[in-house]
Amino acid sequence: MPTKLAFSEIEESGRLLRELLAAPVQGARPVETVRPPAPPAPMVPPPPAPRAVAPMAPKSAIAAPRPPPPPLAPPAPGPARTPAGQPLPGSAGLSAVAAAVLRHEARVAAATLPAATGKPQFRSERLEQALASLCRRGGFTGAVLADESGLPLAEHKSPVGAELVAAFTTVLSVAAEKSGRLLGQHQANYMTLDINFTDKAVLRRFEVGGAPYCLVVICQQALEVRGEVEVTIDALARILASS
Amino acid sequence: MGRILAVASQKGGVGKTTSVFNLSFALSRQGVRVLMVDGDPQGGLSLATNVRHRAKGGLVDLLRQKLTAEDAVTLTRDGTLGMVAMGAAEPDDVAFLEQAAHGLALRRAIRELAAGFDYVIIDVPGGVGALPRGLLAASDAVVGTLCLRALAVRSLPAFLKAFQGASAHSDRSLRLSGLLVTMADLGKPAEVDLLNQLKASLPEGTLFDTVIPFDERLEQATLKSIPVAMLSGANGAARPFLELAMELRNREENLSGGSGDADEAGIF
Repeated sequence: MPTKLAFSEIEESGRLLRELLAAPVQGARPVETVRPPAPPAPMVPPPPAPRAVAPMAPKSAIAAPRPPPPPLAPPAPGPARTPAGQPLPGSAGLSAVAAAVLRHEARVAAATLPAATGKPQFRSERLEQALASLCRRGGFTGAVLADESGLPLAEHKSPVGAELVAAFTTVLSVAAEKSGRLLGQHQANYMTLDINFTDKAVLRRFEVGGAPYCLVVICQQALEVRGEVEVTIDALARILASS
Repeated sequence: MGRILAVASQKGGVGKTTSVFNLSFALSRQGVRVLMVDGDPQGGLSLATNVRHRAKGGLVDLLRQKLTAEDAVTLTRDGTLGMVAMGAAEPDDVAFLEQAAHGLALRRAIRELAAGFDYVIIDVPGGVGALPRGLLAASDAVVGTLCLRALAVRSLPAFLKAFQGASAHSDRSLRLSGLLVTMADLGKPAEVDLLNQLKASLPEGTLFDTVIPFDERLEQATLKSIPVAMLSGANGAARPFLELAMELRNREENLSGGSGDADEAGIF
């Protein structure tokens, strides 16, 4: 009489498959509520560190905080306009804030526009288009999008290998997170690194559906990247969250 | 651009290569253009199809940019079935392949190859390393294969976890088309028992209705480097693959939203 076989792995497989079926299709995960670019909070002294934690470096070892940028000019009244300057339909008579939101939406939409050859099928193509659009608009040298494990998801004209830059993002990302925690700035999602005398790499951490991602932009040191990066983060989050 | 399907399993020796070859042939007989891609550095599919002597190169050469996508494809005479061999697979090449799988190069190459075909069927090597995961991530859907042996069934969770991981890096929305039981000998009570357990425990519709039975004629066909449907007197062995092809197409239509009354529907 044959012995009846019973493997726990079959039950485990059933459970895994049910999880897979229940989970939304990859890419259809809920989008992170992408934080709008908030004005940088004033530097506050870090909370007293627990005794078990090593003392912080003396202040002189930390670069002096840059003065906060001037406050954003209030949005101009009147109809919202596309990045090309065209008035957005239906935006006349809106409040300044609503018009600003519409303008932001239009910029995000512009950042995710498909190529002239047709709508790209692949998620990585759409991501690469968003990066290409970012570099074109900002005048940046290149950009790489990586996931938390340092795998490149998309790149545009990375001056060094995209795989290398993506792998490096994990180091920078951890450094940014730890620095923010030590300085009491838990929302510190940016890190800027001068990579030579003229260029810099700017890392921006963000999350989509709870999964962290890193966007690295390589550009001249004189360029301001935050505005374009924030618009692109919205676009990237939409693509990453779409099926 | 066609649907990219990966035929994969955690365990080796469960009939992936044989399934890819015969399933691709069966699909091509239904009037769709199919491209087989040998993604296994062991080159099993390249050997089974005996294409390596005629091919100018393979996947490795394409990734090394020594070859164009067009030159990497070897077509049958009627042009409905194409094959991309593995190409050179020296130890350095395997390391290079894994590096390519880790980044974007492999999925770009697969995407380039998919142009002009209705289906691309990839023979994915066993295991859950960088190369299998990279190939899964480049695909639209995965056909998992398992035979009714203890080790194969017990490795199923590892495969499903690899699928989950690859899904997170998928270029398109990676889906599980289904699990295919291969090399089944349903005359053995232990195998029947395992199959019943699988049917009882896995969510409905996970397993393909079609089961590929163990048949020595598959090995005979492989020796002649032909699909079993072209082997004289092997209709019985070929029929499950024809049924599988139809079932797979139905599942793919369901996964991709169905063709409905779209232009491509119907036989003309």
